[in-house]
Amino acid sequence: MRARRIKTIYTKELVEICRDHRTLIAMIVVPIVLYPLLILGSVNLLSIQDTERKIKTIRVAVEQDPNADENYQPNVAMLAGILSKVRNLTEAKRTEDNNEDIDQQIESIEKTKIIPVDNVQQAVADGAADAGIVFKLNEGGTRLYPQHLFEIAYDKAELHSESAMNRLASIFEALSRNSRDQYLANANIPDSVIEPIRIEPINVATPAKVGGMVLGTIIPLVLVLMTITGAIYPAIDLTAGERERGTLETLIVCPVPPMELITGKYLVVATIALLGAALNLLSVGMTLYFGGFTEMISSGETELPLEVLPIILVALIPFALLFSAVMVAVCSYARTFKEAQNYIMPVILAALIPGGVAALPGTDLTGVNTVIPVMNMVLLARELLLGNWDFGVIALVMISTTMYAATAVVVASRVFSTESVVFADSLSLRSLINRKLIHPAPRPTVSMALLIVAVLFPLWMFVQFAIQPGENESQLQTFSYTAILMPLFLVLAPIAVLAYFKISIAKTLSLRLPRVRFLAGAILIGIAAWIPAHELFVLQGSIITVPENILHGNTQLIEAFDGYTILFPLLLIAVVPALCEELFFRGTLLSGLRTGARKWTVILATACVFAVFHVMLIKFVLTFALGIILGLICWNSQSIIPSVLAHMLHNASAVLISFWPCYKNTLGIADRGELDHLPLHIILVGIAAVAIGLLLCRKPSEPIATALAQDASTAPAE
Amino acid sequence: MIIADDLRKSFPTPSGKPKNAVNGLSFRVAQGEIYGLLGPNGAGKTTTLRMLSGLMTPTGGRAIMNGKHVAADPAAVKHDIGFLTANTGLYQRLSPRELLAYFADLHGMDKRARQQRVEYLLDWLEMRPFADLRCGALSTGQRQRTSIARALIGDPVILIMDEPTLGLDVLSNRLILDFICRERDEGKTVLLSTHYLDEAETLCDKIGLLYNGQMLAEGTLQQLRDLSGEQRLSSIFLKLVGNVQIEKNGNTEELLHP
Repeated sequence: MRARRIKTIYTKELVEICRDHRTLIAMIVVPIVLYPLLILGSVNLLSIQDTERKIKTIRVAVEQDPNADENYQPNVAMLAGILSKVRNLTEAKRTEDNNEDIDQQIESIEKTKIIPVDNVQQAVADGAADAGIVFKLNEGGTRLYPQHLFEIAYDKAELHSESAMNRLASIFEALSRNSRDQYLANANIPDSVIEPIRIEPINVATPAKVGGMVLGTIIPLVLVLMTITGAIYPAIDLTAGERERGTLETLIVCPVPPMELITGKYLVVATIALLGAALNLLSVGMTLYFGGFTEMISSGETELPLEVLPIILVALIPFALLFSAVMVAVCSYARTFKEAQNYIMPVILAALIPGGVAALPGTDLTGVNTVIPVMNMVLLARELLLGNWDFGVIALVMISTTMYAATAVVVASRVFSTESVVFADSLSLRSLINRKLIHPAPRPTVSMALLIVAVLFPLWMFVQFAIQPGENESQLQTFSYTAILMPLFLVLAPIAVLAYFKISIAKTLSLRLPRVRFLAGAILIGIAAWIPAHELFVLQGSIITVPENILHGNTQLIEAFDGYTILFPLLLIAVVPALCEELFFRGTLLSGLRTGARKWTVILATACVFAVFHVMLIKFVLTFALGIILGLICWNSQSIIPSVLAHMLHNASAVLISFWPCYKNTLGIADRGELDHLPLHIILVGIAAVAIGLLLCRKPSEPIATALAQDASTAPAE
Repeated sequence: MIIADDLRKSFPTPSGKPKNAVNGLSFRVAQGEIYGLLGPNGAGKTTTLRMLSGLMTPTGGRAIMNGKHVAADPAAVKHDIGFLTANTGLYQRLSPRELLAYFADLHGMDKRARQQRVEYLLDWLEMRPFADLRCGALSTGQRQRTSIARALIGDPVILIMDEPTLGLDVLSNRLILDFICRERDEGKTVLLSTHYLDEAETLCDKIGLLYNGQMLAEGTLQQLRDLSGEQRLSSIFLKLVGNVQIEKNGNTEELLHP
């Protein structure tokens, strides 16, 4: 790819899209003007309504006595007396600190208008009063300690009526508390008789953490939504819009590879999405900070950790990259603006579901949640706002999101220039998925291979987390489940996809006999690779702390297979994983990538995905290095057999070292720990053996270019 | 030099039976020649041009452009050709000058070469009066001139034009035709498709009559006149199409390829 041409495309697209007032409105006007208006408006409205409800005079109906004197209604007098008494009680509580609260309470008591009526409930139902009271004196209790019943009639369908009821209830509760205290004092009974247990919650969260929690439920979802919204218009305009305006044909007739075209366009979409997200974040942050939001939600007991917002924006980059890529990929299928909008709606809904689930209380950033797109980003933003920094989890979120984004970009580039999508007369999208219309092909395309990986990755992660042993469970169960599920996910599922799309399974999985030298090389590498791998791990251990469970991995392994013959761990740890992983990584993935990229790009990319699938970050370097060697063997031998052999022997070495003490004794390493260097002579022998193995596997067995050219000539256009 | 050798293109259909848009088409265009592909709608003209320019992959046959196989190295072929599509789709929010500079960059031209080429085309196609207006505000003729300039920005040796004068007024039409002649006189190879038979009569050195994805007849105008006994190209075309329909089940080989 040429950076200069990508820059040309990027600049042109950015200039053109910035000249479109629709983009500017969506990107700038909405966050800068609309959000502050909406947030401040709603805060003010709530505040106004709250205040209004508090200080508004309430009309309270009481039953009038037809036989009583016109100037003296007993119920009116009783309520007035109660109000006066509660007012005095409230006034008595006044201190220097609570002046404002007391004033408000007194105002609330004073603004009560008493209306005598014939039927209290009818008056409230008709709206003649906000609430009504029926006094039922001496309903229970004793003569000395009577209990009265005050019925408050209110209309639950009316906000002001419910508010009036609450005000009256709080007044009567104050009166009731006062009477109770008097009763207790008269009877010389301590408080503890009524309230044997006092409950006093103590909040240990810092104000910043409380603020983080509040923001954590709002901001991530808003940001995700805004990023998605920001990407929609440019993604449609630059892909389906280009096609609809008739400029696509003129563009793809230029001597520019589709990958460069789509990368330039994709970067523009990502830029707009990120810029939109940044503006939204800035706008929301400023509005919350200056808009009195903190006071509204917590009476000042909360601090909003707004300084975390820029970090969240950085964390949002992979998400913006992912969603922009998904949008570009989806819109690339569409021929018109309208068609693209129809395609995008289900994508947005699909994104909102995990986003919404992530916003629910109780959902945390653990297990498979770390690799579910959208959900992991919403949860990560929340964790950052709460001040939780788990770098392992952050890395997993970032790597998985970046991997999905890369897949989406490759898919978009393939789709963008696909004949059936570019030209309406090439039958349309059905030719891409309708099996009847699919031409047989020797190998999957890059996009198909990456799509298989992108779909299988979260599923496999889910399986991995689901089969992790519990506290009292043996690891044997995990190994057994893995041995059963791995062939299903990494072998049978990809084969089913290949078969559906009429792709040669034998060629894709490189099922052919290799030359003997490759087998010899693979055996040497397989047997000896653990030695340089161990040394690499020890070196890494001197820089990064190795977790305890990794250090004691061998002990756990031996305990798990206690009582079984060594063949069992060999089958579960060496044979099955080596076979399945090789068929998937060096089979489906490597074969797909090699149709669209150069040797080392393919090998490195495959090794990277191989390492990511193993999840354990501490072993990333090791699995990555092993992936490179296995990829090289497979590429050069054009057969899966040597890499399966090398992988199997490598895993078997680990099993033998753990289960056969005599093996360690023979090598003279019986007393060495996991982070101890091996004796020098063993290191030298190990490195020499691997080097000879690589030399044996060095040269390709036949010109790869010819083989690929043959494949390309028979492969249908994607 | 353009060589189309037994070119075929079929599109899949929902029924599973492929639809043959181009069916064994062969012709050659010499350097410095204007070759006109003529035919009714659906004859396969546009599909042929798209296959020759590497936009579509043929399902059979081969295409060689300036000595390069289109299927083997479409990127190299794209360097040598300028392709004018049937619709005059332009970037609405760019000016013709910006648009030309953009395509010059995509062709890998350096800044100085780009500037020279853009200025040259602006002069030659009389585009200066509207060079800095947005393309969205241009008239049909101005848009077509911009499209042609875009196709020529890489200084291609082969010019492929799909309906270059479609929907143009007389003045714009004349300007474009003169321009095509000038390009031919400079040694460029021009392959164009058109519905306007009188235009093909005056412009093309050689004419290929397409019908149902096959070459009905080809040659110079005089050769076609001799073949059909008609003077006007439209009459020649109608007569040949009529013959094909009458002799649909017979042997038309001799008539089609004299």
